[in-house]
Amino acid sequence: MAAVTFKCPNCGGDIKFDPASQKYKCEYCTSLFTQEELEASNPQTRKKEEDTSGSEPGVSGERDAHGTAVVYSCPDCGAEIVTDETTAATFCYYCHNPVVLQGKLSGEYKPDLVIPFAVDKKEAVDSFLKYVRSKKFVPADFFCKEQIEKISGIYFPFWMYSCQADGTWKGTGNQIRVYRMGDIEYTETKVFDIQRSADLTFKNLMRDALDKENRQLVEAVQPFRVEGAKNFSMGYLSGFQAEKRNIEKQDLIAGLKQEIQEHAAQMMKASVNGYASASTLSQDVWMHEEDWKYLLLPVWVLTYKGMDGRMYYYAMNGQTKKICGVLPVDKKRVVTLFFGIFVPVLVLLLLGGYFLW
Amino acid sequence: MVGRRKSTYKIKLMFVFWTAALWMFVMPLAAGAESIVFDEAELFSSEEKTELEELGQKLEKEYKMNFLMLTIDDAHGMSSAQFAEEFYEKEGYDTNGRSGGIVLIIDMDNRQMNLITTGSMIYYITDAREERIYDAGEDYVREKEYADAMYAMLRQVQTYMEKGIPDNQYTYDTETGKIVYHRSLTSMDVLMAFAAAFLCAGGACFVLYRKYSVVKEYEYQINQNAEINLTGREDRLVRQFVTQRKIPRNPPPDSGGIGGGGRTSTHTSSGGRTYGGGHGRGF
Repeated sequence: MAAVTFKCPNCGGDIKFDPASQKYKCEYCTSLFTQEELEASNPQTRKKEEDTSGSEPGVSGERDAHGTAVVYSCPDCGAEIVTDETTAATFCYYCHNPVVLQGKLSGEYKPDLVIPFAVDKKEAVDSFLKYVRSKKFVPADFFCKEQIEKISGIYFPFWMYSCQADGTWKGTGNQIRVYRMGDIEYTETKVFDIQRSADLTFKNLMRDALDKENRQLVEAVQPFRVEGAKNFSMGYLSGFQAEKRNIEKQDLIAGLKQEIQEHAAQMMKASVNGYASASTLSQDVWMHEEDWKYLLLPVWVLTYKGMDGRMYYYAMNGQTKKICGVLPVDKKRVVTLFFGIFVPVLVLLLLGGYFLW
Repeated sequence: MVGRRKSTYKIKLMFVFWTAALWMFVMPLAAGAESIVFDEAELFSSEEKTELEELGQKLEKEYKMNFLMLTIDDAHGMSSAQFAEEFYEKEGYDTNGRSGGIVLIIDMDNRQMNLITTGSMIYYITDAREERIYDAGEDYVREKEYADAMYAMLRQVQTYMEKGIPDNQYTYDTETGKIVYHRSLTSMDVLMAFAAAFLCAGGACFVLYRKYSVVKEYEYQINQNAEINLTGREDRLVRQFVTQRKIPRNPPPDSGGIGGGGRTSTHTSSGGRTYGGGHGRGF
């Protein structure tokens, strides 16, 4: 089986990636290790990674009868770990040790880059509590700390696209001059044909590579600081959950091309200045030197059952702490807000109407 | 014996009832039909008088103010305005319970059209509007069509009553120099204030709901991630044209004239009552 755990060279305890120190930490003896030290002390993980580098996704485990779940054995306690096809790192349900499912992220599915978590769980919980407490119109009893502590750190797969582009933009522009002579006002209008050609560079267009329910939320926590990305190593996943992609780049190229054309036209039109108005006649953009990177991005995810019985989903950027999600609104507080604005505005307008207008 | 007494009592009761009923129905009719056209100079035919009465009565009923029309051929040495003021007070219009009134006068003695306003009517008929009222009647009065002149002036008054008190109206006391701004809220003002306050409060709640319930999509940041290097730039003039228009010089209506747009000049009569108008126009 290709499920592995990383062990401490000092005490043999399980090792997790520590966002605060950006190193690997033993949970038992609190020793810290660099990437090189981890690989040197866990050569079996590198070997397994190499062994499975050409394998197909999911075949490292055993599919169940429905073909949607995959079964692994925990390297620590031997218990069966059941995951879905896109899960690449998780925890053993019995011994709670972090388990990395290597076969999911090898070969063509091996990410080029990973942005490691920079926010640990405690910081994520604190940030989330701070966020919800700053929202004055959420019902006071809506969030309880115990539920928030069930937050999960997940690496989500993304495609990152960069390219060079050649573009031309054609349009018309008007220059208008108004002057007066006696009682007559003259308006002079000059109409120009305008053409612009440009070399354009687009970097780091991100697309979520996993088609799951919370996709919208995960995309909304962007931007990530790509300069913080590292070359992928399995060790970064230890202590977190991870997903592998189920969207390929050919599924995204049409949408990206459309977006690049729109941005290119916008940029070229913005370079047209000195006119009262300008309108587009035609535009052409040719993309070349396209570069795709497959990377894993850190997101804290919380599924929360509200006091109202509804399920709420939240996502937090594991690098910048940006939070997205739908919040419930306390109707009593909204009514107070309504009258808090309505009454003063009405009084002000009536007083203004009486004394000024 | 008893039956006869009862019958007499019944007849008496019926008499009292019918008298009271007649009084209740006839008196208001009599009051409503009270003449408001005083053609002392005998300038109007009976048909013309009836026409003026009808319009005047209609305005009285609608605005609960006095709308009087007066023609004189002897002002007894007084000015047109003084005569109208004395007439107003002497005939008891200042105490008939109405909130104000106007007297339109054609004075054949002083050869002048004039008007005086009092009470709430002062707010409606500003100095500028007074001039427009004279304008309405001037052509007719010069042609000696006095009834048409009076009718045109009354119609102009009607127009201003319908327009309401101008927003910038203020009262200027010509004797003391005191300025008093008219402050009031029409039902339309209150309605608009309600609507605006509702929109503000509703808008804030809508924005709040959207902010809480909608996840904002991330948009690619061009400024941080994209660069442009222009390699070609061409701007070619293809045509040129000039259009022209005459700058209008006429001031907008009601903005000029005596005392500016919203001013009503007032003075106090010998009877101690405050009147507006009285500027008059000769013919």
